[in-house]
Amino acid sequence: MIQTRNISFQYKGGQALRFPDIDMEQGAHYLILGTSGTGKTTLLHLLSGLLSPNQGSVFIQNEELNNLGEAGLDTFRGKHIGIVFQVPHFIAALTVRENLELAQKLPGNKIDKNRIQNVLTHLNLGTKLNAYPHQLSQGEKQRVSIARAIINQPTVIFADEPTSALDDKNCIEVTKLLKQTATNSNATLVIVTHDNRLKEEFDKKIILEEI
Amino acid sequence: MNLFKLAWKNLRSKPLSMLLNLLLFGLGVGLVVFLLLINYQVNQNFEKNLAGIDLVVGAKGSPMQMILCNMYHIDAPTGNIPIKDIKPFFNPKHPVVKEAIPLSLGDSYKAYRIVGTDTTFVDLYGAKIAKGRMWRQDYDVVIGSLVADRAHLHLGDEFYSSHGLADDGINVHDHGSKFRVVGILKPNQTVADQLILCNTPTIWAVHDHEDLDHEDHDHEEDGEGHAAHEEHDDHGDHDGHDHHDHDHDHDHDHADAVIEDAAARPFNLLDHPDQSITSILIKFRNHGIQALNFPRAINENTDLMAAQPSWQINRVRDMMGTGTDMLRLLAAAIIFVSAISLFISLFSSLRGRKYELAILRVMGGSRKTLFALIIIEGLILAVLGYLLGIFLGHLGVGVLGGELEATYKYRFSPWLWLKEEYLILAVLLALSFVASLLPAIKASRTPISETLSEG
Repeated sequence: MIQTRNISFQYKGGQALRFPDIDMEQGAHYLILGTSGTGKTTLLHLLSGLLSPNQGSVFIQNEELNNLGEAGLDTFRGKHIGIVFQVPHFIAALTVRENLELAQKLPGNKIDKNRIQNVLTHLNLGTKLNAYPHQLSQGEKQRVSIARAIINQPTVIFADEPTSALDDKNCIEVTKLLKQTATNSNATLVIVTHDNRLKEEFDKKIILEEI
Repeated sequence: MNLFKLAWKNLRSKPLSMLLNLLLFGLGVGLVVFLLLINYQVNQNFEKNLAGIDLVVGAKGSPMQMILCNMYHIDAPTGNIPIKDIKPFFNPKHPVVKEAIPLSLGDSYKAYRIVGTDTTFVDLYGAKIAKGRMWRQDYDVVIGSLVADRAHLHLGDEFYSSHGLADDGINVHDHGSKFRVVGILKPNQTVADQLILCNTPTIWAVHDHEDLDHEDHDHEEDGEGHAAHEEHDDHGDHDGHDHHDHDHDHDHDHADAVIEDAAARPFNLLDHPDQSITSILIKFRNHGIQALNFPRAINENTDLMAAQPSWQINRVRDMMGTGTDMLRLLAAAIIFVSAISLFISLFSSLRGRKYELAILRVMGGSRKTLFALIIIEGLILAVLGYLLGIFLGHLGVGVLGGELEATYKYRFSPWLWLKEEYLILAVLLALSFVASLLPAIKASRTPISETLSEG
C-alpha cells in the first residue's frame, strides 16, 4: 500500500539522510521510532508528499507521488492523506466547523455537514462545532486535528508526535482514537514518535538508526 | 467555505488593521470623489451659464469681477454705464452685435439678486415659466426655482429689497413699493434658478425712491441733468417717461398718457439716455475678424469695458485649478500611502500566518490557492475602501454643499454619478492588485515541510 524504494533526502548544507525501503499493508498500524536527528519527521514528510526525495520513489496505492506534479500532489494529499501534527494548528479566523469545511472543500470534495457532525460527535467534540481554535484545550485541539485528518476518509493517516505534548490521560485517549478511526475507515495508520508510552500499543514498528 | 469567505474571515479577525486600511482608502477615494463632484458641477455651472454670450460690456474695472458679477452673480458690479454711451449696441443693424441684453443690478432679497432686464434674458438661459406669468409692469418679479425654495416665496407674495447682496437686514428699502411675485421659473440648472427678475425701470424706481427720500437735491440735479441732455435725445417723449418713473403716483394724467404710449410702443431702454444700467450681455452675429477686434476697440476707444466670458472663465479655472490640483495631489498621495499600507499589512501578516498557509497546503490547497487568497484579501480591502470613499465623497458634497451654495448660489447635488467613479474603482483594484502581488507570491512560496517542522 505504501512503498518506498531507495529514498534519500539532503537538507541544504546538511548530510544526506538515507531511509530503509518500506512496505506497508493497507489498514495496518505502524510506529516509526527513532531518537531525534534520525530523520523521523523528514521521512513522514517524504511519505506524505510534503517533501520530495532527492533520490528514490514513494508509492501510495501504486501512485508514485513524484509523478503527480505539485498541484496534483496537493489535491492527492488533501483527498487521500490525513496528517496529525505534534502541535495542532488551525485557521485561527475560522470555527472548528469552518476549518473542517475548508478541509473538505480545498481538495475539491463537497461540503458534507453530516459527516462533520458525525466525526466531531465521535471524537466527543459535538459541542465544539462553533468554537474557535483558541477557545479549545490542548487535548481538544489534538482531537480536532484528528477530525481534520480523517474528514475526507483518507487511505493513510500520518501522525507526527501526536502525543508528546499531552499528559498520560490524553495520550491514551488520542492513541485510542487514532487507532479506532483508522480501523473504522480501513486506513493505514503511521505514527512517528519517540514517545515510549506508545511502544506497547503497536506490533509493527520501524526503527530508524542513527547514521 | 470558499476562498472569498476565508479571505473575509481572515480580514475580520484583524479588525484594527482592516479599519486602518479602509480609512486610508476611504479618505483618499472620498477626497477624489468630492473634488470630482464639485469640479464637475462648477464646470457644468460655468458651461451652462455661458449661454452663448460672447461679450459682456460694463463699467471699467476688473474684467473677471465683471464676468463673475454679471454672468454668475457671485461678485459686486464694477459700476454703472450710462445708456447714452451704449446706444450703438442696441442698433439692430450693428455689424457685430446680434443680440444685446441689458442688466441692472444692485438689489437683493435674502441674498438673492434682483436683476432688471428684459424678457430676452429668460430666453437666453432657456428658462421656462413653471407657475404664473412673465412680468408686465414695474415691480412685477419672476423668480428662479432656487429663490422660491430657499426664500420661501410663492406666487402673489410681496417683499422689499435690500441694497447690495448682503442679507443683513440693515439696508432694506422698507419704503416705496413692494416687489410682487408674478411668476416662478422651472429649475434648469442655470443662473436663472437663483435670480429675481424684473424690468429695468423697476430697478431705477427703487433707487430713485432712495434718492427722493434721502437727497432731494440729487433728484433735482438729476432733473437738470436730464434737461441738459435733452438736445441729444432723438425721441421727444423721453422726459415724459422719466417723469413717470420718478413719481407716477402723483401725476395721473401724465401716467395715463404714458401707459397708452407704452401700449402703442413697448418700453425702450434707449428712450432713457440719462439713466444707467450695469452691463450688457452680447451675442455676436459671427466670429469674424470684426468680432475679434470688437472687444479691444471698446476697451481702447470708450469709457466702457468689454470682457469675453470664455477667457475670464479660463482664468478663474486656472486660479481654482492650482487649488484643486494641490488637493488632487494630496488625494493621490493618500491613495498611494493606502496602497503601501495594504502592502505592509499583508506582508507582515504572512509571518504570523505561515503555519496557517502551510496547513492550507496540507489540506489540499495549492500554491495558486495561497496566491489567490492574499490577492483576494487585498481586493476585498480595496472594494470596501472604495465603497467607503464613494460614500464619504458624496456625503461630503451633501454636507458641505449647503456652504458652497451660500457662496456660489448654485445647488450642489450629491446625487450624481460620474463615469470617473468607475475609473477610480478600476485604478484602485489595479493598485491593490499590485500591492498584494509581492505578499501573494511570498505566500505561495511558503515552504510547507520546513514550516511544519518548526512546530
